[in-house]
Order: sequence, then C-alpha cells, then structure tokens
Amino acid sequence: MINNLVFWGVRGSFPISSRDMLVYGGNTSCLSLQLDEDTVLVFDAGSGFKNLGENIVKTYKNKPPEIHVLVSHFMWDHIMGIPFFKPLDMPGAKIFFYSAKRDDHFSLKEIFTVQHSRDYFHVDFVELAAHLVFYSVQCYQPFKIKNALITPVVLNHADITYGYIVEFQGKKIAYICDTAPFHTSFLGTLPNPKYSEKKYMNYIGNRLVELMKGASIVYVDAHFNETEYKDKHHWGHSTPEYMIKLCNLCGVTNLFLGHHAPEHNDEFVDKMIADAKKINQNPGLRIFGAKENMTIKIVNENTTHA
Amino acid sequence: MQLKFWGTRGDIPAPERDKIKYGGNTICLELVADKPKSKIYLDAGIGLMLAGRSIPAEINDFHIVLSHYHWDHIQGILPFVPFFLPKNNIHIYGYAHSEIELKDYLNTLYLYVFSPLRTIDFYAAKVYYHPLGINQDFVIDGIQFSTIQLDHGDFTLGYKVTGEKGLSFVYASDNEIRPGSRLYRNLIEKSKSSNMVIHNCKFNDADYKTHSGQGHSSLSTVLHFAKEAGVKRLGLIHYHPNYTDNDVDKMLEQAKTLAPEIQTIGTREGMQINF
Repeated sequence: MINNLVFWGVRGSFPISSRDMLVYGGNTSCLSLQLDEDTVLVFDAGSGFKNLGENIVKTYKNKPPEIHVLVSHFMWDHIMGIPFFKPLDMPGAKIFFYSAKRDDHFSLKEIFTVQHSRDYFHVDFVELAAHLVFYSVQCYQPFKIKNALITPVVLNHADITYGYIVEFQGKKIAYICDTAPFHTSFLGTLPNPKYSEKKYMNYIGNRLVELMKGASIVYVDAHFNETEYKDKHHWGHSTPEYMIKLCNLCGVTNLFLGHHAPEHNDEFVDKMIADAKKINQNPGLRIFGAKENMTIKIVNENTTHA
Repeated sequence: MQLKFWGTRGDIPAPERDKIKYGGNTICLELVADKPKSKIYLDAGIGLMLAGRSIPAEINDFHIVLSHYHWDHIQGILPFVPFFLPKNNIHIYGYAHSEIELKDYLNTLYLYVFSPLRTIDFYAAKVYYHPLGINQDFVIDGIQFSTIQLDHGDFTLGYKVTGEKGLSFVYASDNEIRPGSRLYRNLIEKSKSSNMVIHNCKFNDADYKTHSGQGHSSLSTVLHFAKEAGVKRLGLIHYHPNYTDNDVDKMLEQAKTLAPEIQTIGTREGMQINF
C-alpha cells in the first residue's frame, strides 16, 4: 500500500479564511501519516484535524481505523480541531492521544474536559462514543506504534513542547513544530530556573540534531522571515534560514517549511520560499513550501514525490 | 448606524476555497455609529482578529458585546491587536452574574497551557467587564442594546439593536427555534417591531433531522419563526463549517420558494447593511 503523508493544516497561530491565503491554506497544524491500512498517525490537532476526521469517516465508513495523535503542545492552534473530530462520535473508534508528561495537573485529558465543558461547547466529554486513551510520553524515550518507532524531542516553545521523530519503513520523518531557534529561550523561561540558558539551548538543540540525522522528510516551523525574527527571537518560532542550516547539519533530504504566519498572504509566503531556495547551498536538500492538502507519497526507494 | 460582517461561519473557522464567498471566519459583526467615537463588535470569533488589523490610530475605545462563550464566539479575542496598546480602553459585555465571573469565562482562553499570555490581565490596554442579565438595556455611542434570552445552552444572549434613526435589528446567532416555548414567544415579541432579524441557520432541512436539540436551527424552522413574527428581512448566519457556498446558495433558493414574502439574505464577510 501507499503510505501517504498529508498536510491538513499548515497555518500557524490562528486559522484564517482569506482570498489571498488559499494556496497555502488557512487551517492550523495537522498532518497525517498512514502507517498501515488500519492505522493513521496524526501530528497535532489544529483546525485541519476536523477535515482529517471527515476524510477518515468517508474512507472507513463504519469501520474506523486506529487513530494515534501526537500532540506537540496545547496552544489553541494545535488542539482546536479536537471537538470537531468526527471519529470521536464513532462507536468502536479507538483514538490514542500522546503528549508530554507534565509535572502539573494539565494532562491532555484535562484539556479535553475543558474543551468539552458546557460553557464552551455543546457536547460533554462523557458523551463521546469513541474509546479514548491518553498517554504521557517522555522526551528522548522512544515508543512504538505498530511498525513505527517514535521519539519525542524537546523544542524551544511554550512551557513544554515536543517535536516527534518517526522511524518507519527504514525512513525517518520529523515533525518539528513549534519551535524557535535554539538560541534564546521562549519568553525567557526555562524548565528549571537554575539552568543556564546557553547550556540548555545547546543541549536540546544538539539532541535534536543527533536524532534528526538522515531524516528524509522534515516538517518545520518557519513562521518568520529574518526581518520579523529580529524583534521576535523569544516568540517561539523560527525562520526558513535557520531551519535550512539545521537540516543541512542533519543531512536531511526534503524540507517542508510550514506554520505560516496568519499575517502572511500567499504572495508573501511564495517569496519566503523562493528566498529560502536561494539561500540553500546544498543540492542534496530539497525545499518545499508546505501547502494545505499536499500529499507526499512515501515510497520505499530513497525518493519522495510532492 | 451601519452593520459590517467580519465573520459569519459557525463552530470552527472553515478557510476553504469553496467557502470563500460567505466566508470561513467565525462570527464577528461590527456596528458603526453615525458619529462613531469607538469601535463596537458583536461577538468575537476569528473575524475579530481581521477587524483588529485596520484600526485608525485615533480610536481608543472598544466595545465587545458577546452572545455566549462557546469557542467560535471568543477565539478572536486572543489575537485582537488593540489589547496590546496601553492607550486603549476595552469594554467586554456578556451574560454573567459578576465582573469576576465574566472575566473567568474568558480567562480559560489564557490558561498557560493554551496561550503564552497566561492571563487576560497580561494586556497593556485597560479592560472593563460588564456583566449582563436578561432583558437588560444599555447604550453605546448612541446605539441602544436590549438583551434577549435565547435557546442555546444555559445562558446565550441575543440582542435587539436600535440605531440612531430608530431602525433596529435582532441578532440571534445561536438559537434553536422551538415553536411554543417561552423563549420562542419572547423572541417573536422582540422581532415583531424590528426591521431585520439575523438568525442562526446552521443546518439545511435534511441535516437538521439528525441534529435537532443541539441549539441550532434549520432553514424551515427559521422561516416558520420569521413568518410568525412578520419579519420582512431575514439574514442567515452561523453556517455549518462543512457547507460550501453552493450549499448556502441552495438554502437561499429554497427560502425564496418556502417564504417568498420574506427577503432572505445570506450574510457574508464584507457585507454592509445600513440602519
């Protein structure tokens, strides 16, 4: 079978509907990867998650697949599609959610309860038909989902944000969103105030480089251009230029630039992608602007088709 | 006054090519007074984010009047640019028993796991909370508001809004028509004397069959209400996020057949109506 990687939402921060943003699309973060005929792996549950859900219902009719959702963090643009995910209403559906282990009381289950409370939504959490399982995962501790090995990596964004590296059919696919370059920590905060910012940034940056080595497909946060980044280096988002550098350190072959800012129209993103291609000196790294509904066929040879 | 539409979609933004005519941004309407001193918005869906991008520098006062706190009606508050400027005064109105309760409803948006801002108090602007009850009247910039209890969850408000010239409209973005109920009769009373009604029409008749009782209305039930209230001009709003422009056009065609005496309009982003 063909294992497709599909982009259901590549917009950053907030969904936006605008005539001049239809090429890259306005739905927020959600990617899916077909692991086998009955298993769908999902990266994040932004507004694009709703469209993925419709597609799953259409494709599988009354026999829902196993759905495994890797959640990077809980900011709205990464979870807002959850209440509108049709398979939640499918009896017999099994949906597994994975997110970072936390020290506070905010498990993903807690988030679900908030999202589905009567004040904010018309369906209560307990009314959902699907069988839901919530897993807390630990950074740098690999775990298996069917035939895929997943390693969560710490990113530089929000309080705790994970990227996910998936090893699957001899290939490495990485979802690195959201993150700022590993220079200045997000809003100046560190997981432990005793840490040195420089040492911590170096550590998580180096771990990522080490784990992403040889990845064939990498989806990244490329929210800002270099000018915007100058004033916003602590905002938790990266630039195409930084991501190209990072991916070239890892020998990545296909880089998809995503998490487009809701202020950037198609023309602006086109220019960012064109500039990114000019900057890149390495012919072994192919660069693409991630677009909504883009499907990448993952074939066994060392090639991909966008 | 003038009414401007920044977002008309229900539930969740639907930014797709085949929905661009009616628009994919969630609900936000703007009211422009004849002599505007401030900016006034009805509901704060993602349309509010777009509205906030083009504010003249001389405007310092903002009024955001909310129907209820479901996500699609408040999600535009987070990225609303005027919150970040210390010169601004922002007034928020919504159903609550106290200022603290109203603030609490909104503060969930800012829980530290959801947003880097961590609290609604983060903002540089001064924010004022105005809790509202049922059948409460208030005036902003010469525009009169009167609250109406709607049939959508526990505490959803509609508004009868009357402009400077005495022309008015009823805004009921989230409401289920249940003929005979107390809330239904109340809405009929408020609508009788107004020049237009803007009402929820999330479902076409076929889809409503499996979705009744969820607090949203269908074309036929809205038309039934409009006929009984003698509404001459009806604006549909809160379209299902899966409905394409074509689907909405079909409902409007049907409305012409089912209720030729009513002028039924599909509200859409960018539309302006004068009162």
